[in-house]
Amino acid sequence: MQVSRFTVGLCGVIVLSLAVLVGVGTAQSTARKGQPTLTIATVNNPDMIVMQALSSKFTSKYGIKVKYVTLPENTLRQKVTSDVATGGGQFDIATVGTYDVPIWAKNKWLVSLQPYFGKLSSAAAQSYDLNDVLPKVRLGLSYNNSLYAVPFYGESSMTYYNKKLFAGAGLKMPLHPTWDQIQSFAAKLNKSSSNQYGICLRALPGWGEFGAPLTTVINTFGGQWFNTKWEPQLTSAPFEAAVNFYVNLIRKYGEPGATSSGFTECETAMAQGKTAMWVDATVAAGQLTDPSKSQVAKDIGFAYAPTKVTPLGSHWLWAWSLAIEASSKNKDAAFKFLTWATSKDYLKLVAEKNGWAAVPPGTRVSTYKNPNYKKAAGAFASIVLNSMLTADPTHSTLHKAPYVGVQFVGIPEFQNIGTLVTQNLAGAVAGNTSVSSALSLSQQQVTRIMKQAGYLK
Amino acid sequence: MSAVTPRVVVPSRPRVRPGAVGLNLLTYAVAFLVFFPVLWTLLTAFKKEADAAATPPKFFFQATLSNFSTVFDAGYFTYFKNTVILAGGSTVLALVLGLPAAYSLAFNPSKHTPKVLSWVLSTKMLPAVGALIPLVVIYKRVGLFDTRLGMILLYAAFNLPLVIWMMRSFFADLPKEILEASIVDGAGFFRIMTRIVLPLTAPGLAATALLSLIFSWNEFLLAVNLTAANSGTLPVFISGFQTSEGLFFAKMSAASTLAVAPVILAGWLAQRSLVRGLTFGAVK
Amino acid sequence: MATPATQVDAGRWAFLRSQRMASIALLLPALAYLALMTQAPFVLTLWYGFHRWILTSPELGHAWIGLENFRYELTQDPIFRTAIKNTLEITASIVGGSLVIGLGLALLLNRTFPLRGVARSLMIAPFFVMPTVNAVVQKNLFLNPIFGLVNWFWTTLGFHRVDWLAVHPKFSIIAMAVWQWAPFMMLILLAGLQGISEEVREAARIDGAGPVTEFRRITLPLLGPYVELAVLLGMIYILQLFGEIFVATQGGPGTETTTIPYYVYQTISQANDVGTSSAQGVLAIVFSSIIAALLLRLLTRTFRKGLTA
Repeated sequence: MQVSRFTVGLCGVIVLSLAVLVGVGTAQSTARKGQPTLTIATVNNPDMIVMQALSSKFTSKYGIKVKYVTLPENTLRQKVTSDVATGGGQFDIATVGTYDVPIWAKNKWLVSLQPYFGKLSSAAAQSYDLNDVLPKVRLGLSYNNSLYAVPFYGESSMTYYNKKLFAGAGLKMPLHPTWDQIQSFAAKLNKSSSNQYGICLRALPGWGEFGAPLTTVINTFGGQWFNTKWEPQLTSAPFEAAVNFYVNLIRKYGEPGATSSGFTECETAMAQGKTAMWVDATVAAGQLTDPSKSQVAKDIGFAYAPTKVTPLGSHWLWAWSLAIEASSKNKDAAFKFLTWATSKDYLKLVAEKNGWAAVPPGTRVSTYKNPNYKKAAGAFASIVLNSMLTADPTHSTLHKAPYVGVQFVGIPEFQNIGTLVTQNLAGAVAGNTSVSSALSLSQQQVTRIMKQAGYLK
Repeated sequence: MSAVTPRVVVPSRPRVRPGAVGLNLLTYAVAFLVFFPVLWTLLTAFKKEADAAATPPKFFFQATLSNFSTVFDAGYFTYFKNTVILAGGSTVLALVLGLPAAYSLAFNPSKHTPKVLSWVLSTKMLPAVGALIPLVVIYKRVGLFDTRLGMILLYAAFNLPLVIWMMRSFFADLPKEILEASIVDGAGFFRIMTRIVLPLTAPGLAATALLSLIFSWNEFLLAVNLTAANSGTLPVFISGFQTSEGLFFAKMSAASTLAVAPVILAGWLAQRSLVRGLTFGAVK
Repeated sequence: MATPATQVDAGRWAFLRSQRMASIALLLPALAYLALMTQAPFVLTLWYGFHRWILTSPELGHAWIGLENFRYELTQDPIFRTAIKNTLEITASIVGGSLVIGLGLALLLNRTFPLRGVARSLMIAPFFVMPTVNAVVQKNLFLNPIFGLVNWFWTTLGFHRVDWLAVHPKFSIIAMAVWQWAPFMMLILLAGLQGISEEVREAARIDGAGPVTEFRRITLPLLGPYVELAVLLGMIYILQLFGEIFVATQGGPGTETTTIPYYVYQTISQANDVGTSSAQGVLAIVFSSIIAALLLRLLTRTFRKGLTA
């Protein structure tokens, strides 16, 4: 009968809800005592994926479990910022970049690693060899002369080009090209009707996307974001010249869909042979030369990042690093993980698993001295190393600047400023507005932000 | 023969019109077109990353299951379990609270009823983004941050207005005589609900429950901010595949397929009830 | 001897009074729960709106600044005004577009034909997909100007490559959202169509009405209440549209697709400004309430008119 069937159904629902609530209840049971569990906030970049896969080795060595929360970069930054700014407590280790570390250290959201390094036994300190870690990277991860994070992998920027396309047009790429040379190459190699483009450059709005290569171009044209009095320089001659150059280069000889093109989109275009040149992060080198990921693996050539008026700030410096949150209850365990994941032994571990070309780049000088690595990475290793050794976050503009950072400005407001300005400029790339009007609007907005934040009176 | 004519309008089947073959083909084409993006995602899940981004797009390719194994390795089942508990638990809670409320508003309306209904709807006007930090602060203070219980409570509050509005309409459409008879008989709320009201509005109940389930299942922004390692849901899991340094379309398609499949299956199964449920006058 | 009628009356009175108490008791838990869960965050949001709080600059403190945030947003912030305009445009277009397409789909399905269940299942599927997933798939696999399917198809037809998300950002967002919400509208409208009794249509046909006249004079008016329900429910959700914009255009290019929810998110995640984003959130409530109130008044008027059975 219908009624009894319904009563049965109702009982089923009640049972189900009880089961659900029980499930909820048991899930909240506290972790077993004695075995600390580290919670790490991380991004989903290829090197991090390898780290997650190898964490079991860490657990079996130290008996410490590791849990990961993986999110895209901007979401992760927003979430971790909300967390630490409201008292923290969610993560022991945060994956942060050279932009975040000095700011978070100043806000006391991270713990200084100096005392922990100081407590290491001399044998442990020697085997870790902190001095082997690239000096400029360590500089970028410090605040008040104290180290707050260790780099997991580091990168600079360089020029990639398609040797076959160049040879076909009778062109030769110099090892240290200038932007003017790049422009003439792009003009000759651009065949948009055949879905082939001269160059791919990021124009995806974002301080870390469009903003990064754009800032290096601004630097090398002799411009800067702020003068020593913190006045915004967006309408100054070199700044405007640099932006005009970049925007026009894309519009004339660059990829369509530039305002949606970040690292991944341009990398895909390069790997599929759709673009002749690409100036971007050095980490792409390994992927572009991997035949399973790239259709032009054998044809990739490498050169230094282009320059114009000065080599200062022409190639950037970035390191995804591991830092311990001030609110962590497992700081000692966290430090163990930090040093494990950035040790020479870890690099060997990755090499055993995936080969030397897959080893996290840009952290240690010894990696680049290793003959196995040199053989596997070969063509680009020296360019990467030299770029990272010469990218100085404290000295990256032609004229003196009051800020640190090569491809960003190391103030908390830059996250907003950089994204706002690149959003306006993306409108120029898309052809909706002119560069000069985008820049004057940006100058107004940035001036207001700087006044509100107390930099300007 | 009964002298009582049924008050409930039974949906009648439209006759087949002659010469409808063309219209049939059009319908199939449209259905395929509408479904196509879902199908394409499913296909992409089986491609290698290089194939996924190929131009011209590859319709024929060598299939691989490696994306699915990557997804499972990345902890799919934990997130799946969390999502089921969250979506299911919040729907049950919303129903437990909302059904009596809908009963009251439908069968005992007063001059306050429109105001109450408006207020209930107004609770959905605050964009979740605006209350992000307040919610983080409050949840941390009461210890509900990154807990399944906390998320269940929150999602139930989101779905309660939907339950109240929809079920009230379904209840109000029931023929009054049946109810009045049982009220005079002295039946109480519980008996009326279980013996009469719910059986008659079962399709509407299924429709409301399914909608509530879908909205909880797919909720992204609050899930990202209010969960961490313990209660993450599938939307958070999927977004984790996005990376700014590397190709991820195939892996993400695999994760999305696995996240969407259970909901689509549930929807298809409940579909008939859904249509019939909305038929029984969510409208006066 | 008391007549049975009076006895029933007295009983009914007492019963009704206790009914009223009982009905309040039934209503109270839901209202109390809703009030607690939604008003507490709202009050705190309002509180933050009166302060200045930048997450990444704790040294600037938590100063009380009264109505300053609200004043700035309403009178000086050009982006907020653009966001209001964009929200209205985009919401109206999505609701309208999905309504029209949903109606078309419902009309197609309102017949008997082989594999009808399959066709209906396929047409409902888009509603179940996660908005963020939908946006990632559409952005990368379909709308990408170099690799996307749409451009491959478009250029095969002989047109030039189009950078959809840069040149037609609003249209792209609207198209994505319409694809998702049309099935929702379709379900409601299909239910309405199937409620139109066969006799009425038969009578119309006998009177010599062609399909177009039948649609205009009979189908549409009878569908009216269903259309209005779909619009009300849909609008409440679509006003908060976020996932698509977040993934596909990030509010751009420029501020082309910056809507109020997205602008609030930008303020909190990019400028790390709790005070301003809270003020924006509160203003968003005011804005949505006005729209909903107007819509509700329109709907209840039609609801009360009802249909003569």
